[in-house]
Amino acid sequence: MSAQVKYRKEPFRLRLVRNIRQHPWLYIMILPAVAYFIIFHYLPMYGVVISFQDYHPVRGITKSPWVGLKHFNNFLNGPFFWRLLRNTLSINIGLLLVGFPLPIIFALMLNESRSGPFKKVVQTITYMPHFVSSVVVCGLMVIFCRGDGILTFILSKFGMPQSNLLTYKQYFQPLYIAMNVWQELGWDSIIYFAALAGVDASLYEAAYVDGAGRWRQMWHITLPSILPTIVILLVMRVGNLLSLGWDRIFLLYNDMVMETADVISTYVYRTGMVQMQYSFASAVGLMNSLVNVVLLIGANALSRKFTDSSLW
Amino acid sequence: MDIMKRHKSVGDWIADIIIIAVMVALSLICVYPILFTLFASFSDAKALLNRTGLLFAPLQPYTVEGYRLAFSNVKLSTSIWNTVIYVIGGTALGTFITGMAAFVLSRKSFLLRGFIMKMITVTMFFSGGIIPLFIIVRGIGIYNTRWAFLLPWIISAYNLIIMRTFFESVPAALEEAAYLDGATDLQIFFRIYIPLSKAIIAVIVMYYGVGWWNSWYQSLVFQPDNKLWPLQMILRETLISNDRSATMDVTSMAEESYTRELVKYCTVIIATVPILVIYPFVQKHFVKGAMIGAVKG
Amino acid sequence: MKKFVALMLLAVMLATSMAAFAEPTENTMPIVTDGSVKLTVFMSMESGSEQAMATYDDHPAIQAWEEITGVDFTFIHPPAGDDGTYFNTLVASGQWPDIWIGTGFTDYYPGGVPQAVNDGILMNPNELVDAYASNYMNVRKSWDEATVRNFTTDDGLYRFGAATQVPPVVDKQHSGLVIRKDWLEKWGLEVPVTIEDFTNVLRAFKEHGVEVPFAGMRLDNWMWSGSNMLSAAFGVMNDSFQLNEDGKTVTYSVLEPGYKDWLNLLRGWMAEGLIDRDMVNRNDSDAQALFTSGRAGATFAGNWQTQQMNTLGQVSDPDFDLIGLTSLKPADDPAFINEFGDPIYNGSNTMWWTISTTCKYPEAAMRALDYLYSYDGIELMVFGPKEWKGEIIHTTDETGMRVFSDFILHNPNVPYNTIRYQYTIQNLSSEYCADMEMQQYSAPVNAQCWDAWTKDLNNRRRVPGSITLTSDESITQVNAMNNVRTFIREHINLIVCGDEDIANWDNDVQYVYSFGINDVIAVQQAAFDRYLAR
Repeated sequence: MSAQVKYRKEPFRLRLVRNIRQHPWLYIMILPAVAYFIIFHYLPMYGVVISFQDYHPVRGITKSPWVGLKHFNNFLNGPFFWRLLRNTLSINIGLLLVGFPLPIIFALMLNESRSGPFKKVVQTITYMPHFVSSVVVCGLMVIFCRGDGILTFILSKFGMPQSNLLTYKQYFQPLYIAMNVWQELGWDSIIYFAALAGVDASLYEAAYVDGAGRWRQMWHITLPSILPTIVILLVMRVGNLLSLGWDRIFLLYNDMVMETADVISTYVYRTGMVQMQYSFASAVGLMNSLVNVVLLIGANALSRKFTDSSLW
Repeated sequence: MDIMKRHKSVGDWIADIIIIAVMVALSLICVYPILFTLFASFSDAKALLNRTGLLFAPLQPYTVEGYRLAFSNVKLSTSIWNTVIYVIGGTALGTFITGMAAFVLSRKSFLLRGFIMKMITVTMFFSGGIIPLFIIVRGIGIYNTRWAFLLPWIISAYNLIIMRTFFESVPAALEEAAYLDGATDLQIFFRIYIPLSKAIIAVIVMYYGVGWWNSWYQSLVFQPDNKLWPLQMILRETLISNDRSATMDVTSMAEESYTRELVKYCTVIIATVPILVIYPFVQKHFVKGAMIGAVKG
Repeated sequence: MKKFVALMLLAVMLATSMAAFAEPTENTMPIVTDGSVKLTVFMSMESGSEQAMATYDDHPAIQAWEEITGVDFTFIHPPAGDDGTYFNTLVASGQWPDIWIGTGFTDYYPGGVPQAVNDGILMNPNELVDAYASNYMNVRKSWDEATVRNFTTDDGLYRFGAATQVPPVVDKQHSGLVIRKDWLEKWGLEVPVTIEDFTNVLRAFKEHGVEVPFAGMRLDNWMWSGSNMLSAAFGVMNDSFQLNEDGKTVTYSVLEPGYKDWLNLLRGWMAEGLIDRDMVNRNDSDAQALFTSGRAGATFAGNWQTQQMNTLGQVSDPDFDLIGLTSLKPADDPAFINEFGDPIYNGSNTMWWTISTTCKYPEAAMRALDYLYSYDGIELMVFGPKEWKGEIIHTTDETGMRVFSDFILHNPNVPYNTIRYQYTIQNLSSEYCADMEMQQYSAPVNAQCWDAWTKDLNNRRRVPGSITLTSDESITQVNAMNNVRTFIREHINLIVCGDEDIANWDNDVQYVYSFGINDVIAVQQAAFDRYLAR
C-alpha cells in the first residue's frame, strides 16, 4: 500500500470496498471464524438481559418481567457473597502462588541438567498428567482421599488424620491446588523451556569468561531472558483471577467443605442449572465477568508500566 | 551447552545431585497414581477392598475380570466411538478454521485486522453465560445433535492468537515472489504457510485434541440423547455419580459390591491408556510447536 | 403463533373427543395401524435394565407395548445420578418430549405439575383422561373417598400415573434399620430396643473389629428420613418439615430443641468411631455394599432389598443374616411410638405420567398410557411379556396367580432382581400388582422386617407428601430453602463430624431464621390446611 493512500484518508467504506476487491480470499477465509464468534459469543451476550429480568424459560426473554438490579442486590446482600468471593480469590491466588512459580523453577532446574536423555525422560513423564481428563483426575482424587485411600494413607504418616481428607475444610484448598499442580506442572513449563531454548548461548559464554558461576548465570542471564514470557503469562492469570472452572470443584466438593470449597462458579451452576434460577445465576456470572475484565486491564496496565510487555 | 562441560566444582556436583534427586522424585509423583491404578485394575477384587497402602504390583490372584465387567457396560463402546468422532472431527474442523483465520489476521494487508482481533480477544474474558448460549443452540436447530457438542466450542481464541503470532513471524520475503507471480491469498496460505507451519499445526491439533477429549458438560446441557454422549460422560457416571448399574455386570450381581471399586480402576485405565500410548510419539512435534507458539504467548 | 397452536389443539381435541364419545367404555387396540404416530418419552431407566440396553427402545415390554398400541415410542433418559440439571435444561429447551414419566416436575419444577400445566408446558391431564382414559376412570371409580383425595391435587388435577397400592404392601413401613443378626448372636448381644442399647451394640461391634459399625449415608439421603427410626426418639425428623404434637401445626425439624440432641448423638458416634467421615459422600447403595461385604454391622435398607442383601452377604460370609429393628426408643419411654414413619398408604407415590402441550398426538399418547391401566397392561409392565424370543417370561399357575418362569426366577447367569427389570418396568406399572408383591416379599426376612419396622410406628406427625403448593408459594419456598438447605447441610455435617462446636448450633438456628424460614413454614402450613380441607 502506497504512502499516498494513507495521507488522503479516504472514507472507510471506500477503503473497505477496495480492500475486499484486492484481497477477496482473505474475507472468505475469515468468514467461518467471524461467523462463529458472532453466533456463539456475541449473540448470546444479548442474553445477559435476563440478569435484569425474572426470566422464565417458557415465557422467553420477550415476555419475562423486568426486575432491574434485584438479582444483583440479592447476591451482594445474600448470605454467601463474602464466602464465595473469598474462596474464589483464595483458591485462585493459591494456584497462582504455587502453580505459577513452580513450573518456572522446574524448567530452570531441569535446564541445568546436562544429560539430554534424562531431561527428555523427565519431560515426557511430567507432561503426562496433563493428558488425563478432569473427570478421571477428580474421580481418582475422590478414591485416593477416602478413609481407606492411598493418599490418606501416605499423608497420615505425616500427621494428617486417617479418614476422608476431602471432608476437612482446612485441607480442601491445599488438596485442590496440589491436584492442579500435579496435573499442570510439567505442561505449564513447556513455554519456559521454549523461552530457555531461545536464550543466546554466546551470553553464557561471555559470562563464563567473566568468571560468573552457574547461579549467577541463571540470575543475570537466564531469568531476564525469559522475563517477558513470565510477565505475559502472569497478566493472563491475573485477568482470570475470578474465573475458576466449576467442574473440578463440583466433582470434588461435599457438604462438609462448603466453607472453603464453594466458589462463584459452582454457586452459579447450582442456582442456575440445578435450581433453575436462571436470572439470578446470569446476574452473578455477569458480575464475575466484569470484575475479570477490570482485573485484566489493571494487570496489563501495571505490566506495561513496569516492564515493556503488554497483551495489546 | 558444551561450555558447561569445561570443569566441575564441588558446588556443581552438589547442585547436579540435588537436581537429579528432585527430578526423579517429581517423575515418580507424576507417574505413580497412574501406576497404582494400573496395578489395582489387575488385582483381585476382594484383596483390593481389604487393603490400604501402596501397591507395587497387582494383588494376586491377577485378574482381567474388571476389564470384562467394564466392557460389559453397553454404553461404554458407543461413547468411545462418539469420543473418536468428536476428537477427530472437532480437531480437524477447528484447526482448519483457526488456521485460516489466523492467517488472515496476520496479514498487514487485511483492513479489518485490528477490529476483528479486538472482537476475538473480548470473548476470552466475557461471555453471556450458558442459558443464552442454550437459546442460540436451540435456535439454529442443532440441539440434540452431534453438532451441539462441537460447534459452540469449535474455535479457541487462545489457539487462534498463538497461531497468528507464529504466522506473523514468517519472513515476508517468502511470499513476495509468489505475490509477484499473481498468486491469490488462498494459494499463499496453502502453498507457503501450511508447509512452513507443520510444527505449530501439530501443537494446535494437540491443544484441540486434548480439549475435545476432556469435554463432557455440553452433553449434559445440549444432548438429551445418550447415544451421542462421549466417554467422559460415562466416566462421570461411573466414577463420580457412583452409578451402581454402570458398573454392574449381568452375570455377577453377587460380586458387585466387591467389583465396583475394581471396575472404577479399569474404566480409568481404559479411558487413559490410549492417549498415554499415543502421546510419546507425537510429543516431539508439539513441544517444538509449543516453543514457537509460546514465545510471545 | 401461540394462538394458532391453541386453535389447532382445540380442533384436534374436538375431533378426537367425538371419537371418544363413540367409544366410551373401552379402548380398542391398536390405536393406530399405520405406524404414523411417533412419540418421544422421557423417563429414567431402572438399574437392572440400564446395563443390558442403552435405551428402553430395546426393552421387550416396550416393544410389546408398541406392538399392541401401534404407537412408535422413542425414549430419552437422563444420565445416572442427575441432579436436576438434565431435567431442567430439557424443560428450558422448549423441545419437550411428548410424554414425561417420573417425578421430575415434582422434584425440580417450582409449583410442580399443576404449575407446569398453568405455564403451558403440560396438557391438563383431566381433559385428556376424561376423554380417552376409560381404564383409568374405571379404576378411579372403584376408590373410596380418601383414596380419591390422595389421587387429586389441590387444583383438582388427577394424579395420573401415581401407582395404586394393593393389600400386601399397604400400611407397611417399607424401609428402616437392619442389623447383623448372626453377629448379635455370635457375640451374645440382645436385639437393641432403645437408642442406648443400639449405641452399646455398635460399640460391641467396634470392639470385635468391625470397621464401620454403622454404615451411614449422606445426611440428606432419603433413607434417614424414610423412617426416622433414630431421630424420632428425639422428637424430630431428619431435616424436613414436620407436624407438632397436635398433628396440625407445621414446623421445621431443624428448629426444634430435640434436633440438637439428635446431632449430639451422631456426633458422639462419630467421635467413638461408630460411624465414619466417608458417610458424607456415601449414598445408600454404597452403605449397603459396606454392610453386605461384612465391613459394617448395621445400616438402613428397603424391604425390596433385604432378600438380595442376604444373598449378597452370604457370598463373603455364609452365616450372614440380617433382621429389621423396631424404631429405637428413648431410654425412659417404653410406650414410645415413632410418629414420623412412612407406612405406605394408597396414593403416596409421587409418580406422574404427563403429556406436553407440544405433543401432536395427545389422544394416542393418552390412550397408549391408559392401556397400562388395563389388566393386560398392568401385567405387561409388572410381569413382562408372556414370551420373548422363545423364552417363557411368566405364566399363570393353577390358582390363577401370575408367576415368573424359571428363566427369570432361577436364571443361572443373571440374578432375579436384575433380569426381572430387563423384562418389566416399574415406573410404567400403574399398580403394585398383588400377585407380584406376594412373590417379591415372600422370604421370611421380608415378613420379619415388615413386622419389626411397622411396629410402634405411624405417620401422624409427618407432613403428607401429596400437599401441593401454588406457584407463588413455591417461589417463596425455593428461594428461602436454597439458602437454608445449603447452610443446614453444611453445619449439621460439621457438627456431626466434630469440626464445629455443638454450642454453635443455637447460633446456626438463628441464621436459619434470618433466611426467612418462617415464611416457608407459613407456606407449608397453608398447603397442609388446604390438604385437610380437600
